[in-house]
Amino acid sequence: MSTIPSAKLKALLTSNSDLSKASLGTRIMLTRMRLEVQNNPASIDAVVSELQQTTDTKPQLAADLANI
Amino acid sequence: MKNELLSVAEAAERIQSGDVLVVAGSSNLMAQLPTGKWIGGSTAYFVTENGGAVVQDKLFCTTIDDATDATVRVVSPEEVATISKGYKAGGFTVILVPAMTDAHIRFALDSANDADLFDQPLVGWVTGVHLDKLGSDASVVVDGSTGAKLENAAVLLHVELPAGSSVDFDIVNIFSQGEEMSVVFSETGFTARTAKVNGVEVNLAQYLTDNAIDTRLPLVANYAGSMVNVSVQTVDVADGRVDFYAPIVAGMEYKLAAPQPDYAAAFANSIGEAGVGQYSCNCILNYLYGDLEGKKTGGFTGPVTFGEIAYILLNQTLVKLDVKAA
Repeated sequence: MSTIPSAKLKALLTSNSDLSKASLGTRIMLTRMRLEVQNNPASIDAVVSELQQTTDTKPQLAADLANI
Repeated sequence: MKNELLSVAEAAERIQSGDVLVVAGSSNLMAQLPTGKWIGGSTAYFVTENGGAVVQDKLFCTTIDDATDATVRVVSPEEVATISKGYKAGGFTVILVPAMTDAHIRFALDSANDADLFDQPLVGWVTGVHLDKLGSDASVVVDGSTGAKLENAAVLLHVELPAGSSVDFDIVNIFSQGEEMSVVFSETGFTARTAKVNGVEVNLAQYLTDNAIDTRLPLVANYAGSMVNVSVQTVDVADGRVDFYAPIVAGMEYKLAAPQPDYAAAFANSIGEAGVGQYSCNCILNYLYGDLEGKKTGGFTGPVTFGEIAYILLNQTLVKLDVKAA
């Protein structure tokens, strides 16, 4: 599976959009990451990088996010 | 999966035949079961085929007949961030945790620090006792592989499924976010003293009391489209604190739920007659506040619990899991 562009991940992390097509686990995990960014905006690059690494190793998560 | 109320002898027969089971009921009854591939948790309350009921002479058994194997594992409060270490690829894990213990608290606060926690469905519940026996009986979990009864640990059942199986896992929340009360906390935890309510910093206990807020309604957070509840346990104005049954999360916007006039009808509307053959649990607060004794809530049957787990700790929610064969 191709890597999800970091710009897309950044947009996901800085929005409040519903992810109704994603699995429950993806919704919860992404919300926790969004909150981390909201509580500490300076962490955005680190959280994007963390999410990128996570999607690289978890095909189900990558598929979930690719379909959003 | 098969969901049944069984006698001790019937449950024992299943276990001895090698079936994989999740058992709910009296700790005294579970103590009579043989060792095998099962885990158990204490509760006296159930949603049965005939509606909500207190059952103390039988055990509610979910037989996971799709399982090709299962491993029972106990984790201490300090080890809750290692839950995923036992995941079996393509399977799912059931977790039971005793109420109001370090294991309960540490699970709620620490388990999601494990980045692999979300790799497969993690379903479960917080065990309890009959409300008449609060303070005298202990909430327990049982490691069925040894028969050990545990009062301060989480017990896990890591289930293996045939290749190509899929697991449908979600929550059913009959509550929605109301429009009148937005709450944001500055610290994560089971207790809050202050919060921003509609943008204004207040003592939360005083605010809830002064405004006659119905604390049977949960605070509802929107997790990217999934509504997640946290329920109020106690409001102590004298001490200026509010305790919750699950952690409130710093920075998350919660909204007081819109009133729910008929819990049983709301469940029926949400889930119809679905539920037969699925694993599920429903919250004791729904049972009590919704007066569910004797009332049916669709086709879902299962234990009534003191907190529900769908990766994280939830309140006032039905959690459901279904296995689809390859």
